[in-house]
Amino acid sequence: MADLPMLSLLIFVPLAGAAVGLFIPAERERTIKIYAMAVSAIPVVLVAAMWAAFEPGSAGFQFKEYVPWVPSLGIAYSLGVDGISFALIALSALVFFLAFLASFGIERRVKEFFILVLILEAAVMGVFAALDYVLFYVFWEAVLIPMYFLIAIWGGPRREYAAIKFLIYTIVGSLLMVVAIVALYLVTGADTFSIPEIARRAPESVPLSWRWWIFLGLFLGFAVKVPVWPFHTWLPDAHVEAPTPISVILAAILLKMGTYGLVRISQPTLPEVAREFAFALAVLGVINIIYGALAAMAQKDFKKMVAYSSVSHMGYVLLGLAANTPAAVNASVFQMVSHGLISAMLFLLVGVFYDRTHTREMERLHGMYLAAPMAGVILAFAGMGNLGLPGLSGFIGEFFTLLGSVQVFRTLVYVTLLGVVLTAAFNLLMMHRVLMGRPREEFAVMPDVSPRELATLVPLMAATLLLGIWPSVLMNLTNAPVMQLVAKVGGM
Amino acid sequence: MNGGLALLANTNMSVILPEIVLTAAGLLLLLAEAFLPQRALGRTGAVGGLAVLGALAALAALFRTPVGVAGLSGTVWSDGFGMFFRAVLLVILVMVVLMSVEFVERRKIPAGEFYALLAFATVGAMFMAISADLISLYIGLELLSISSYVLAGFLRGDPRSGEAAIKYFLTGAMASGILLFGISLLLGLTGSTNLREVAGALSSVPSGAALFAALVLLTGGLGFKLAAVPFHLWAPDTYQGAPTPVTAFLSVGSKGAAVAAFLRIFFVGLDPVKPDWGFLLAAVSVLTMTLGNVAALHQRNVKRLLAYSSIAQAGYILAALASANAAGFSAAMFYVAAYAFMNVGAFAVLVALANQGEGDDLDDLAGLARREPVLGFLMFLFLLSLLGIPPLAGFWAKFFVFRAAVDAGLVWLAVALALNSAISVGYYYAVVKAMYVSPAPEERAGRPVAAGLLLQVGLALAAAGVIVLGLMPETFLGWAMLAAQAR
Repeated sequence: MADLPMLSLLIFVPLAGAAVGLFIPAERERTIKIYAMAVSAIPVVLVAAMWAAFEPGSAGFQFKEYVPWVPSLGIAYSLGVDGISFALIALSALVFFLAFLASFGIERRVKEFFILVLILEAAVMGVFAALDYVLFYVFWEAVLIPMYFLIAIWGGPRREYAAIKFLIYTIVGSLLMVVAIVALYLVTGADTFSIPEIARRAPESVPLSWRWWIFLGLFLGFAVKVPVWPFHTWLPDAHVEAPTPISVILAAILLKMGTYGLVRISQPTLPEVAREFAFALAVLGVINIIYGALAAMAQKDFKKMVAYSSVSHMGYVLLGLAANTPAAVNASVFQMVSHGLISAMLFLLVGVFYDRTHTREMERLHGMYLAAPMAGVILAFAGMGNLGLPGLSGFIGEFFTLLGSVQVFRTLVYVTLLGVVLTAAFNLLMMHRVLMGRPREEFAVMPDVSPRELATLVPLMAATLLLGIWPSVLMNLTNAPVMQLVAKVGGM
Repeated sequence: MNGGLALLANTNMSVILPEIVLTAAGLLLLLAEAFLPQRALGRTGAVGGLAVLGALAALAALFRTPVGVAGLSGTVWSDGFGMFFRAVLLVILVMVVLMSVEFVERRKIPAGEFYALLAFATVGAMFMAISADLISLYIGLELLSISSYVLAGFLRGDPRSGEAAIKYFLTGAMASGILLFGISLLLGLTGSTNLREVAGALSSVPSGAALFAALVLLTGGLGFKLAAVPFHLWAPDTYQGAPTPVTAFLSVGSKGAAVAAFLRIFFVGLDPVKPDWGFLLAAVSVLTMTLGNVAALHQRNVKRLLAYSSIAQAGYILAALASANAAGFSAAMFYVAAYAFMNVGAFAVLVALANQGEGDDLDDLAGLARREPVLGFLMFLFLLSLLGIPPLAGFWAKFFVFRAAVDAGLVWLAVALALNSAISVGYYYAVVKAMYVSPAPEERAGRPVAAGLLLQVGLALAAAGVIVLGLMPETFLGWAMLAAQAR
């Protein structure tokens, strides 16, 4: 098993699956749906096998693959994972599989939809596995192509606007990132694009006057994806318009690409700047937390509320990274995975209720406990996870981020506590609005959550619970690379 | 100065073998037009086939051409640089002829003259690429220009085509004059029109008003062919009005020759005065890409949109030139090759529509991807490449420009290029949106677009170029870098 190029398989199984899928006749919709789901089950199996073989204590890269691509420039097809990227790959494999399961309700242009999502899966795996800047960028941009269509074709009424806004925001960021990458390449010896190698050389070789510019170029590229306030405005639009499974993928995985970029690239490569920038990053994180929570509270649209809640939760990741203590960074990575699970659950539930009521207005959705008790209970579970109830994964991510950050940014953490209260408030408010009271007459009789929907939700619930009571499952994976990162950024 | 070359320089005709073959093919095509019986079945098709063969023969002749020697009394060099550009120009010619055959047949264009002029224009362009002397370069430019004026006006029944030709001719004639004026100033300053001698003399000429005037005039004269701001005003009308295959040729062949001339004149002849022209070209570059991109956002006609896009792309190429280093030199060469495939490809898709009698507005492309998935996907591929999405040819083209600009310390230019590329998402995706998201108009929904076999071959060639250059940039960049070292 270990001899197989596992990471390449993770990338090329979905891609080959998409290519083969082209030959299924478009009118055989059910075949296509089952086929795509079967293809996406393979990465889940691969990840399980990799997990068994993974050495959690090692901070280095595992499952490495290396094939020169453009040797004269030092560009290579170079893959490898450490605990951090492996955790995100595992999350991606799970979420994509569930997203396919959740896509059975797609009725228009079915074949195109499933093929695009398979391509998207390949690109996402590539982003988390790439160890070469150019290869990383190839996958980074490759994510945009299917994503544009998935929003623009299958989205809501303002889908075309949302799709192009998403595209332009991300591309502005990513092109500036390329300039920064090229500059980094040239000043570090101009003979390799290897991410770890450049990170090793950069502290000595990047001239002082370039450091900030390169850092900011990289940071902007990642910040748009996270999204860091004030670059977040594409997110609510994209989420509201995107179909349910795409919202799930967007929130659970695509946002993590941004924070992953900070963890993998900008923090370790330019640690001096990262140290000087830490306070600003922490402030941005706190703004994300509080602004996101306030905006979420103000929303009438269920889906938009969940979208802003994502903005808020990604703030914890930024704050933890900025604090750069072992506890904070571990919690920050933990929060990435935890938010992936919880936001996926919430967006699935928004879809469950929308499919039955055709509305996302929380004003009209009251009484869902009575109308669909099982779905109501699951929503309560997800809401509790989202507000950080101890015992569920959200608590670990947020609590330890704050605990790990308090010695570094005392005042900011106190301010963040306000955000914690607001988070609890908007989640309870949501549950109160949606679940309590009597349902409207037209919604009084509706089918409860179906077995297929349950199959998408239960694994996420189980994972949320598992990580909540047994966080070391994940922390064991991430601790070694996190310690290395903390030491590097800390200047040790 | 290379004394060895000068000694060898007699009228070594083998150096211009491909040009001779192509000229002969052009003449033959004129004769074929005259002597093939008027009503012979498939006569224009036969002439088109002959044209393809002629272009291929010239490409074959290129492989038999000696490299590293001078010819025609030292006025031309057959070096790696010249070989690179001649190969690119001939491949462009092959693609343009392939996409023309059905078009020419349907529009009742006199086939012999049309292909002959395309061949002659290419000969002119090739001469620009191999010229070692400003005079032969100028003659090549004139041959290219005069043929192009006629080509632009070939749709006699269409007033737009006439407008295209007249605009192109009037501004072009003036640009030629400007270029010639610049050459004469340079001759006055250095006493020679031979590029290496010019370079030798310039290293002892103090920079002053006359030299600067010469630089500005040369930039203006060549900038016209490149459609660089502020010499771009002809391009939108000419590109829109000219027959679509001709537009494709003008946008890549004519532009490619202009880049070759830029590289020869500035990197060889004007090499000693780099600081003087580096900033000039950088300024023109930023203006050109910004104006092209912003103006393209408002276009509803795809030919016109691509015209502005090609102005923007000229700006990107100018950024490579402005870097004034070896990386910029090879980046510009790679860019021309990449651009040739992706832009010709995009126009070839429009030709397929035009052959069905459909228009080339954005609305005409609505639902194209559902009507004809392969054609739509090819257009998508070409647009992505123009946008610079990896791993396609256009990505590496831009990537190498970034590298050259940052290496030259022109980070602001690289940032301008990055922001401009982001603007271009707006209009390239307007086309993508039309094809994939908008529904086809009812009368056309479900109606396939039938592209002829030769057009299909042309499209396949362009797509293959975009993909191969994208996946294996090493080979082509290596070629360009070798040529850059040997300049």
